[in-house]
Amino acid sequence: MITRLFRRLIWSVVTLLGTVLLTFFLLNAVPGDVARVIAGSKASPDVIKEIHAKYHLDDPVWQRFALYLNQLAHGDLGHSYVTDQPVAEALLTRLPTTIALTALAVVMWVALAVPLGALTARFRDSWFDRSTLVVATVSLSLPAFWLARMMQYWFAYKLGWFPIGFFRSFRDLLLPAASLAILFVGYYARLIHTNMVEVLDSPYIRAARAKGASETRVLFKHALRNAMIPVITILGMDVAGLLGGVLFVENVFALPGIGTLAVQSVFNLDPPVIMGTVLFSAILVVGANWAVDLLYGWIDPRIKSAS
Amino acid sequence: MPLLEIRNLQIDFGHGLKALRAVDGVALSLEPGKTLGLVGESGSGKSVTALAIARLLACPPAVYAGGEILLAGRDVLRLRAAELRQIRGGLVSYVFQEPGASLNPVFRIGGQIKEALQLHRPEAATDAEVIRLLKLVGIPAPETRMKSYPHELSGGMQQRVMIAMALAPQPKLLVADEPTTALDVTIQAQIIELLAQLRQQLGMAILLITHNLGIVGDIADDVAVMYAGQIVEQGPAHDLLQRPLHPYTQALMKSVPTLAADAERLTTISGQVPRLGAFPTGCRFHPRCPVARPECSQAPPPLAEVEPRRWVRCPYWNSPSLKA
Amino acid sequence: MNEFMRLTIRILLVIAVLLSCVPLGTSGEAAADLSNSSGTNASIPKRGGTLRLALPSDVSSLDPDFAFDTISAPFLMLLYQGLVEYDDGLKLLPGLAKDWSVSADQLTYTFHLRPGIRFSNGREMVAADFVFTLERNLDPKLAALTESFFEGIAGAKDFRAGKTPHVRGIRAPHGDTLEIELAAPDPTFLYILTLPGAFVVPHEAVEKSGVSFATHPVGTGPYVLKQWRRGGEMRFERNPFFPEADRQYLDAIEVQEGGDTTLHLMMFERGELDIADITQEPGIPVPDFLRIQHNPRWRGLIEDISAASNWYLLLNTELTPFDQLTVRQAMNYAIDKDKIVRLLHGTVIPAKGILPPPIPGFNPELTGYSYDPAKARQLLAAAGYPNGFACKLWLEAGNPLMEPAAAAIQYDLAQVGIKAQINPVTLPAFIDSSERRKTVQCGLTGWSQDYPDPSDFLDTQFNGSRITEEGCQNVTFYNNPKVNALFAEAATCPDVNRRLRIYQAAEQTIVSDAPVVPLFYQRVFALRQPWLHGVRLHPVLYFRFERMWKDQ
Repeated sequence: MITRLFRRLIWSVVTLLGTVLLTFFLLNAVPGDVARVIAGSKASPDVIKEIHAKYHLDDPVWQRFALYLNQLAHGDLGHSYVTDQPVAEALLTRLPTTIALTALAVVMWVALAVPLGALTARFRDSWFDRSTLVVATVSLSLPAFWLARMMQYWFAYKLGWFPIGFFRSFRDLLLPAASLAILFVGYYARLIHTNMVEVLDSPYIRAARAKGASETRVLFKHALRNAMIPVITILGMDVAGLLGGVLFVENVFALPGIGTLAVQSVFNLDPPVIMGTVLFSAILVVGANWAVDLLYGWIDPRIKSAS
Repeated sequence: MPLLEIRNLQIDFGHGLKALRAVDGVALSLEPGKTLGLVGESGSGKSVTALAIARLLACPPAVYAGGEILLAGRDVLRLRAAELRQIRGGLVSYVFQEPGASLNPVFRIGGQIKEALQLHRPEAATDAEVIRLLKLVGIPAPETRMKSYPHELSGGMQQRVMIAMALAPQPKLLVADEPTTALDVTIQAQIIELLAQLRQQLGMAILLITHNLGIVGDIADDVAVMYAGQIVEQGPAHDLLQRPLHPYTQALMKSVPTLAADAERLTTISGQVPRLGAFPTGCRFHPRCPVARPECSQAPPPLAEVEPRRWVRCPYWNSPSLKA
Repeated sequence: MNEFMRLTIRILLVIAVLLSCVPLGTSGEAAADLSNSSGTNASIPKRGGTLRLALPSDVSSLDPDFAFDTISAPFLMLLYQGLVEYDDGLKLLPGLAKDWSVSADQLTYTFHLRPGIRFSNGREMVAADFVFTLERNLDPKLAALTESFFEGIAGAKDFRAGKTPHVRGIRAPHGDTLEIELAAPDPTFLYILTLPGAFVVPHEAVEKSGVSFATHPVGTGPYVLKQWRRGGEMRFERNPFFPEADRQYLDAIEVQEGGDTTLHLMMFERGELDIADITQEPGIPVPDFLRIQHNPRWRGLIEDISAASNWYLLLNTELTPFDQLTVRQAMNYAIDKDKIVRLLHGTVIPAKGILPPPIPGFNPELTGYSYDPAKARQLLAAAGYPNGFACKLWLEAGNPLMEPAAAAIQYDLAQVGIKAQINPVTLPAFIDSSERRKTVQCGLTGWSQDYPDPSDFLDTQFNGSRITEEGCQNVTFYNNPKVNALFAEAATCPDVNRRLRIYQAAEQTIVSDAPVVPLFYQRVFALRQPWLHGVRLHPVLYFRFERMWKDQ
């Protein structure tokens, strides 16, 4: 157990360092002078020179990387070149929005995908199962940006049921979260369906029925937890994909979260903020893997004692 | 009144032209507190019959095509879902072949037993009752064992837990579907002994499904032998085992493994169990029957009471070649 | 299937219960108030109300030394003031200086400050604050973004080189008198004083806040920043120390940061914003432009003004084949500007020359080029390219004006045998490459004014004596000694009319030498709600929120 944890830890650190290294050098290879970005197209050579000096832009790239790592080691993510805001502060002030959006979306899609997946498995090949399969396949292939914009256009702009954009109250999150949820609900409904079909054929389900357990109890107590075991793994791996969806949805609905920060930093070519958002995402993905591991042990007792 | 009475049960797999009959006119009867052994090779329809008693077959593909299953006088095949849930566990409990797979891997065994109590005896759904049940089936240190997950127990222990779970609602009938097949030989004997002892103690009836005639003798009052969806012979256990009348039963007897016998020398029945839907015409056993005659492939033989309480589906049971 | 129905109903019930915990109220309010309520009272300004705006990208800074972009400009005008300011047109009026005089040698400007002006922190403003402000702007350690505009002040170069602790040419002889001495006469100097870098800031607030002055601004403007959630929401409220009530009609100005123009237009159409778009891009998203223009609901509510910005195709005069005059002229004849204007739904004005209409010196009589592909082919043949040639056409990827234009240009050039390969790059890469010598063969770019003077368009971009190896704003590397001499003459010419005529002559020569294909001049549009007034766009500043008011 200890060696496994230790290996995990090493792996996580290597992943994060690799991400930082790769992003740093990729950014370095992007054509265009960062000082230009800061100063605008008309800045004089003097201004450019001053900015180069201020941000050590003329130092060799390895030296700058070392400087950045040293900074990171001291918990400092640096300042935005464009706004001068500390990157950590920018991330932290935007984090609650992203968390609220994601959490609401996950709740929505789990609340939909679990019953859908369970019921289509229980009543497989019925009209209900077939139509759900069609809807799921469609929802799976929807582009995130397009879907978010359509939801916004119809339910906010045309019908006026929801606010169009920005984040002022909880209500502003409903439509964005629903857009995000729709992107995933089809896939997860099918995933749960597939696992459910397998689980429902297992002897312990027959044993539960033989005990006199009701169908609801059989489905949602005995079968679901077993069917969720592979789902949790996929969910952990999907965190990266989820971040992509968050990025689009936040931008369409103008929510001040990590996704809009990431997009803006790329448009601004603001290296410290780009590094910050990438590092944040990497930590999230690594963290999700840890969480899945822990969750796994909790949901499937066989894992815990095997390790 | 018998506790269980099955009349002319017919079960198909599939519908219409594609329907394959797995159980074809089975009739059984079991008095309260008695034990009936239902014996046959796999594919004979014995497990299908057993599962039908609490309507546990998955429909589709299974179809209850005809007959009646009277359990304490009520036809199980006509019950509504809620009534059925009362019967399941409450009146008839099951112990299945693979205890490891029949216990839910993600719940503690104590919880699984307690669930059975909650469903039928909510007033008794306590740790104390769970511990009592675990003790009853001979599980050491039940206070700690009840917190175990199924995978932490051995196969024999798992089957004891299954039995405890089945007994928890105090059923009148325990259906044990090949309860020992997946277990070591020594464990098998322990489990059979446990079942016999529990029947003595609790007075419930047992329907024991097995392919092993040997274990039937230890426990059953009556025995029914199934082949290709039909009962081919039925009678009091002692009598039937001493003097099997049907050629199939005789062949089965020869293949019984005993603790004393060397496994190498076991006779197996030649030929294969016919596939569902490919049953031969006439007597379904005739292609494998060592004493078959040309007539056997013509008309299907009826199940006839040839002696008091002795039923045989073979018109030639009394012929000299069979007695020899 | 009754078991199925029962389960389904149970699950739907659970979902219904869960959802009922969520406040699903509809926004209800009918978006369209068709009756144009501006009616009779529109001319009498009212106090009160909140102006609701949205911005597509975050305001980077509210420090006047760093917020040198079009997005933050109108917000700086809420917070700060300079010595001089524009009237509704291009005339300069007294701002914080109540009057000024210029010495006979055109070198020394003496400003007398208005008495009783206070910063929003309550302290009275004095001449020394301007000394601090301008020296801060010039301080190389600060790396301010606008400093180059003030390098013409006497002693500024020495100060920037660290040779002197103060700038010799900036003096405060009395509390209410400010003297600025230039190294050389500059007719545009007063215009330069309207730029954010000259907006006065109090030294104590700057020193106290340090870098966070960008988010905790203090100035003498009509409004103060009340709250700013970075990347979220900005709120401005009245500055209680501001003396003039006619710049403070609105109680507050609320700005949502984020979203794109499409989102903003949707919000506007549902009545959630008072102005559709306040960027100085076309203002209304080009695809929506026709729809909005033809919707009777918005009749009379679209404000527009000719912007002081132009777009052109640069031809690098140092690289073949554009080193040949005939080829450059052929390019001018080959491109149909009217088609580009139609592609952009008429949101722009076709250009003949360099100077846009609002800039003094704009010349309607200029001789330009007509669309004449036959002539273009003829010139190409004369230049030795009867079958045309291939070239790489650079542009900023994703630019909503340049991408359609590039497609049209590529088509037109193909008609005369020139195969243009479109090369979209990021904006920083475009700037970097185009300002590097002998790098970009041809490309689409533009210029927008810093201050309304022809020098800002001509001298900056077409003066051959300013050519450098990199960071060169003369992106065509055009070098005509005759034109250079005209620029030198105009730079110090005190006679306004003569100066404009010199620039017009220079412009005509440049157009004839054809280092660029002028494409179009931009217009700025703003769509307002019927209840918002005083929106009239300014030719330089465009949006002046401090002059707007709302019906109650």
